[in-house]
Amino acid sequence: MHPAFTAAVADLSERHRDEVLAAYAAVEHSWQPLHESQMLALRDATLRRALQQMLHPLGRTLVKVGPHLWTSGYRDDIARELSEEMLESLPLVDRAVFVLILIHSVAIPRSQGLIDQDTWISNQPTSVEELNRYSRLPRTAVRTGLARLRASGLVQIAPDRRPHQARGSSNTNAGASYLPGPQLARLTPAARRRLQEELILAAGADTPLAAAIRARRARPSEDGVLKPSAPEATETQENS
Amino acid sequence: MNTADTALWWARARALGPARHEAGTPAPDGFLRLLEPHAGDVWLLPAHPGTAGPWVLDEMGFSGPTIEQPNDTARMLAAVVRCCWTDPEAPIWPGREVDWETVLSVYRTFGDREESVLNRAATGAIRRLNGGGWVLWDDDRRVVRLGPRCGTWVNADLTVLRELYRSLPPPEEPEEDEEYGETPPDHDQGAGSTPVRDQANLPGPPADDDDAVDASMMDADAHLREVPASVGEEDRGDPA
Amino acid sequence: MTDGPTTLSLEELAPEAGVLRIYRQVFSVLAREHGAMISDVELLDIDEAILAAFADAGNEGLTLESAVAACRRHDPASVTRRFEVLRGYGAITRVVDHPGERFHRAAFAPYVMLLFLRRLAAAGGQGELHQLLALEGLSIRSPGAVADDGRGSVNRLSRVFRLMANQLSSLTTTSPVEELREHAELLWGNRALISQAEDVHAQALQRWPELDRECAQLRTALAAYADSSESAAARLIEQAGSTRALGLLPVETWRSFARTSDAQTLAGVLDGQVFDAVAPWFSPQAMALAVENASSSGPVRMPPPRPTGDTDAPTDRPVAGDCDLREFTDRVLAHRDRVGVSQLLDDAQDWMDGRRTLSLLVASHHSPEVDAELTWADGFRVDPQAAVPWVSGGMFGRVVGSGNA
Repeated sequence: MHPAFTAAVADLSERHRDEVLAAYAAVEHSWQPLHESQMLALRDATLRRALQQMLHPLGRTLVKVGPHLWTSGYRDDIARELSEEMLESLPLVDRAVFVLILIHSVAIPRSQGLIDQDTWISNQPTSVEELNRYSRLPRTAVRTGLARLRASGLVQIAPDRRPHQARGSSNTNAGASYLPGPQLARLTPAARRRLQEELILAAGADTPLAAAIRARRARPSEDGVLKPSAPEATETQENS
Repeated sequence: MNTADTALWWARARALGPARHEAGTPAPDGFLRLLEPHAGDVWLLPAHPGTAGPWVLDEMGFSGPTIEQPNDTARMLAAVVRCCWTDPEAPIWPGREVDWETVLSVYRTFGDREESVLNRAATGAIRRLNGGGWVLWDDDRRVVRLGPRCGTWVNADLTVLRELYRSLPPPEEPEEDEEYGETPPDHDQGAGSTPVRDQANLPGPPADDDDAVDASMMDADAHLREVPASVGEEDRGDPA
Repeated sequence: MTDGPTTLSLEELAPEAGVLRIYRQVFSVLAREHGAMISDVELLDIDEAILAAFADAGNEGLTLESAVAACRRHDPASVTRRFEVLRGYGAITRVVDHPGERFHRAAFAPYVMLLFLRRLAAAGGQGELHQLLALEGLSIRSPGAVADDGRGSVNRLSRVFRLMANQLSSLTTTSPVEELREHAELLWGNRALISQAEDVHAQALQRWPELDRECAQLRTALAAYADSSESAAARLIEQAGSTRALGLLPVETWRSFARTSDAQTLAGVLDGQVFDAVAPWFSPQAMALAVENASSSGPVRMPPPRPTGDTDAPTDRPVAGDCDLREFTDRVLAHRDRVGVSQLLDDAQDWMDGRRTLSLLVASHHSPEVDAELTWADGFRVDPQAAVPWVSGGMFGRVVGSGNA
């Protein structure tokens, strides 16, 4: 077994070690974020620190999704390095479809004042028709892309929860609708912020907001650029 | 390999899935090395410790990634295992390559379905399995092999698979097609051998039998009652 | 909202009586009755229908009855009321000024005003500001224009930009960020506005060098507006959280970005993000179970044809898990809209049973298929005697207004 799994829990009792490993498996592999009440190692601050120390040498970090809700994500410094390698697991067009869904399900509803919570998880569906009609992407590419995006948890099919009297309205035959998927919960605060900023830079490059973002990034002292330091876990303990 | 590289390797494996490298490529501890037959390449993918892999989600009552048509997909994987596992007494990796018709001949036995329905279900299933690294599907040559993720099955898993293998009808193979039918030449399979999920310093393997888990749970419950919310520990049951 | 541009563009009109007449006419569309402003946007629709009827009627005009008939999509009583209000403000007048005259004609200004209001409301006034700037540019270039015309144009522009700068700075420095966010339209298109104003400025100064003082004031106003939008944007970005800044761009900006961008540009938004590869887990037990179920289930029927050739759409989704969750939710919430988590857990036989319940609650909360949610509260209930000794406070219930939840 990799020393990371043992080093982080070396000082713990056997029972606590099991708790931390179970929590590791849960946050890393579960499709959805977990509530603290489900895992001792998420609610107990000491064990949570051990969990964070287990995740850290594997390039991962704990992500707080909401009150009492946790999952894991890529460390910000690791994400930066990996994205510089320019290796992509998703085809270009899939990523484009995904961004369209973020625009229709998050950005536009936000501009319309329909979303209250500050999260990339949205309840505003994007219909396949919107994706086809209001974009330059080829129809077939959108369809195959959506299948891969669903499998990776970047998007999910939206439930049709409209009351029956509303179902007769505009998009009855529009086919399925989509929402951003559970994988978005794994974005760290810095990654969430970066996604927002990249969208603004791309869509509104000549707005004062884009200028403010560029100015902010040009000041390395502020959190526009994170230093590659580990906020919670420390490197030294892993090698001991 | 230093800690920064290790972290990158783990994160990269998560972002890109199993990756094929030249045989000499160094990989961090805890990685499986699955030798490619015929080529000097090796598949590298992380091996989670027994109590920290995706397989423990079930026991904890959490769900992993959503799989579309989960039953069709699982049956297709069973058919591929039946066709590609050369010798159920030997390690499962790398197995052999078979053509699509051969796999369909086993898959067809799973239900009395119209051929068009069957084909659509089968194609969908093989693409999903290919996307997740469970099979290697060559679209041009229409041939199938086991994927590198099959290398993460451990001994206990293989015991179940062996039983499954024996319960399935042998594939109908096209007779003249010798090209795909043979076992690859004897390779050093040491690196590709079954990973060991359990380590001395960790509790035993996940119990295979749900009833057994429940039974041990009841016992565990008595002393766990005074220890609030120890999620996880009781799931794994007594060390086997 | 209309005082700025409208008074500016209309104040030059003379004589004074004529100005007042136009003022009364154009504001008729906003009047609920004499002396009160409309409170219902639908009234604007009726006004528009009435004015459209007059446009179609030709030079004979319309009687009240024929106007009501032409606007039959609207309630006759409301049309009659609006007709009277428009007449009261002089937007509609009798063809012959005699109490017995039944035919009326309509002025065009109220209709222009109505169009203007609608556009102002739709785009926050930015387009109108651009048009105002274009008009000022035209009047400065006009061959007959004299220095006083140029002075008027430059002064009006200074005032507009000073008003915007003042409003922005005060919002930025003294108001909560939410209020600043609500006025984000003050930032929209600011570069284009400034450069348009600079054009007007350059032309005025070149043609009438004696306007240097007025032009200096315009430059100051433009700089103030640029500064205030910069600091407003900086404050908004600082306080943007994960997604809040997205709402600061107009909807149309997002729509046109989505419509016009190629795949490369769209995908570029994800630069710097790393996502997980598809990694489902197949346990041999699940495979064996799936095979077993297949052999016992007999012939599988052909599924019904799909609607639009969208082969991968909804019928492909795994419904088993979500069905279970829906059943669970329906059972738990059978006779109530919400239930305390501790109450559910108290029904549990043992800790294992309780934890299963908890997992189902959380899974239901996350499932897009189930219209129920789990709301956690602070605080824990600890009872060493209970099956589940440690319970965090919380409620499980139907999503309120499940229409959009």
